[in-house]
Amino acid sequence: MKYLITDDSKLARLSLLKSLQPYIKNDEIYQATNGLEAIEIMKTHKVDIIFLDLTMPIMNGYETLPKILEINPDAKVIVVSADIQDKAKNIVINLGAQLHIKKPINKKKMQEIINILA
Amino acid sequence: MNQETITLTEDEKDVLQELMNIAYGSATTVIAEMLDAFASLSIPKIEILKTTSLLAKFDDLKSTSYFFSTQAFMGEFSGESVFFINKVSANNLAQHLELENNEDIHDAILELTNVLTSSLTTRLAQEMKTEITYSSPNISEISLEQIADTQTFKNYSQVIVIYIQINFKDQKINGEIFILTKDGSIQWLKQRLNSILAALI
Amino acid sequence: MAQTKIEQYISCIDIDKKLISNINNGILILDDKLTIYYFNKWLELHTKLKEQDVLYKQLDTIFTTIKTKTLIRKIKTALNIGSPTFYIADISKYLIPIKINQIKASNYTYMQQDVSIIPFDKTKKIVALIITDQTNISNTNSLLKANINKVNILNNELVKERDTINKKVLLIKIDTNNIIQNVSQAYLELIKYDKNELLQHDYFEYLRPFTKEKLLQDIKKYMKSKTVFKFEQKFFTKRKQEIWLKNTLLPEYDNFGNHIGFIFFKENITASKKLQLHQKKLLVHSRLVAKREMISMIAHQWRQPLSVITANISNLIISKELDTLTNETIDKSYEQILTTISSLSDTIDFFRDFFNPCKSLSETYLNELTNKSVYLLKNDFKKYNINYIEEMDQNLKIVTYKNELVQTLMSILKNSLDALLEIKIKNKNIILKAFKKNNYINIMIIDNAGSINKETLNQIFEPYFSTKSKNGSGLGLYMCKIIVKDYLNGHISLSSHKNETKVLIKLPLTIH
Repeated sequence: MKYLITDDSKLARLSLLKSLQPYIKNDEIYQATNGLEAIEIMKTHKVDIIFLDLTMPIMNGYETLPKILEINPDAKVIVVSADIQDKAKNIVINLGAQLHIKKPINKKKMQEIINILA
Repeated sequence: MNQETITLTEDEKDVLQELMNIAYGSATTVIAEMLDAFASLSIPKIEILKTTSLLAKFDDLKSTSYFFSTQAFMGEFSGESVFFINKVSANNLAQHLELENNEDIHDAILELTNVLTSSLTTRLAQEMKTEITYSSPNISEISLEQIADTQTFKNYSQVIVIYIQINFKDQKINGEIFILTKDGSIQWLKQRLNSILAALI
Repeated sequence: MAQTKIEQYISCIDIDKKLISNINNGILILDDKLTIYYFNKWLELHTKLKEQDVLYKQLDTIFTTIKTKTLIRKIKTALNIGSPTFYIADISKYLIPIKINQIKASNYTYMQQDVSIIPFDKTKKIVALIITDQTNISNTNSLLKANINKVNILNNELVKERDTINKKVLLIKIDTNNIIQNVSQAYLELIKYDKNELLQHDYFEYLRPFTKEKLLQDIKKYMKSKTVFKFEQKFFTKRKQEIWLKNTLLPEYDNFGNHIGFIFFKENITASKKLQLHQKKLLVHSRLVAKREMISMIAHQWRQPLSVITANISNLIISKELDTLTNETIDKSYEQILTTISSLSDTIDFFRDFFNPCKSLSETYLNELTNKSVYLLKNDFKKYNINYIEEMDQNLKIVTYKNELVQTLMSILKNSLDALLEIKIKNKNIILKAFKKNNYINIMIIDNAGSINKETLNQIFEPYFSTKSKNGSGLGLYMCKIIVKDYLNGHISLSSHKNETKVLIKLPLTIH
């Protein structure tokens, strides 16, 4: 499995990485700090699971999401955002996201995510 | 007053920024519920400024006539929030809430200030494992030119400014909130930010 | 023992409940439908309602002034964010209407209240309302607001005044070390300098290039003694234009009476200085004109005696041709020629000093001066049948510049003579009267050459004004006025009615 964590915040990436740690063995994990970087990684690596923040500089999550799916329609995108308004949730689900998870990610939330993905 | 120049490292800034993002998300949700409207949020900007530069920034906001409200928060993490909303937005807010007179508009602005301040800082406090209490907010009727003379701002020499723009597009309501932390709180904050980061590495 | 009793008492009672019922705040417990679950003693006392009468009723049905929607919104928000929401007395006035019974003057009929809505139980949707009486603070606030308004109005006026001073008044402020602290906009505009070229610079360094050492010393002397000093001084603008400023030096003190520096108020007197210079030039020119007139009058005077001499010489020549020349004839002619020549010489002597302006004052009999004035005109008076009458005390004395006064009087008498020559009447008169009045000598010259119209009267003392078609320089009366006013410290006026024109010169007995 190949994972991609996309978030402009180091803290967010680190905490996501930490909660993901128990579930990975020989899997590859890539990191991007904005949408554009994420797309570049997607072009060269066949990533299966993408964690995507919404508010980011250069290219935000809303713009990035459709482009990711264009490159790899089978990719599973989990939006991780502080914006938990129903309308925001609806938008990303409509754009093709698998899940919309409220920040911050912790062990419990990751467990749920893994269960759903499995 | 502490005259030393305090700086935030890139990491500290990043952690604070992310915590603010999280806090801000829940704050907007609460306000969206209260106003029954969809809000879009800007990425919080974090800066450490001298009080004089902050006042210059406020001066820039003077172009349109702004309502200006403040609310103090106390605890290990203490400071004050300052909320600016222009007349047009305030009127749109009043219309949206079906308010008739000036007093009700002021009341609604204070409520917005209160909700923003408490939801932002409560969430921030939760993440930093501390507690905060609040004084009641108030609308300042002093003109911006006179802000420099007010005691509130003289209590700060340096401030961490967390600046966020709130946008309710459909209702055409936007405002700016500044969260200012006092000199003493800045050291506490730095420590806490670093320990949060250390726990992850 | 007493301590144990208190311990027992404390352990028996519900402290929280006792405190809440006795606290100096209104406390209410409501759900999000505004149903009342608790109504403390304070509220009972102030609303005169009993708890059992309001319990489980809707708060907004008991107090109908409450805006249901707003209160419900605040309650829901408080429950939602898990922290209090508020009503602020400053804005919302009050939630529960409570009439104020205090006799003390108050701006309010109802108690002004701060209300905190505290989330109590999120799942049961219950909140506590804590009401605090803010009437006193509100009163103080409104008083303060009224006064702030007054202060603001006063402040605005002050700012305006300061602005006007800055724009209109020429001033420079310096501190005790002569460093320039403030320069008014008006002064900067006048001298075409930028504020920064002067601010924080030494004032004397600024003055030195165009100020005489003596004046600098004087300024310093007055600064040292902290006394007012007024002086005129020539300044230069940045573009090297000359300006004259009248300076007033004032010491400046702060509110506690400490000396903090000096203010130089300046007044631009360039225009009047320029006028003075212009007048000086005119005066020089006028003197030349007067000289020319005088010489022509002397020439005129000489014509008659010269013809006497010529006639005598011709007579001698003819007599010699005819051989009728006798010693007697020679003697007679010789004598006549000598007398005539001496009279010519007298005329010259008489006016020898005249062309130089008097440097010093001298005391003289007035009639000596009038004699001099009339000396060159007497023959013409006789020739054209003009009665010249002098009426004055022969002992009248005056301390003045002699030549200037003689010249003035001569000029006026000549004007009268010229005017009388223009008209045809039987009795032509010129009267010169002089008398002492208080500390002044009044000299009047009256002629009956007809009246002068009003328009001419208004312009008569202007330079280059003349009614004479030829030979009029137009400087005569202007010159008279300048001399009388500026040199002799007197007044001159001219009036005309019926056929008479009267020139009145009022001179001090002594020029100081």
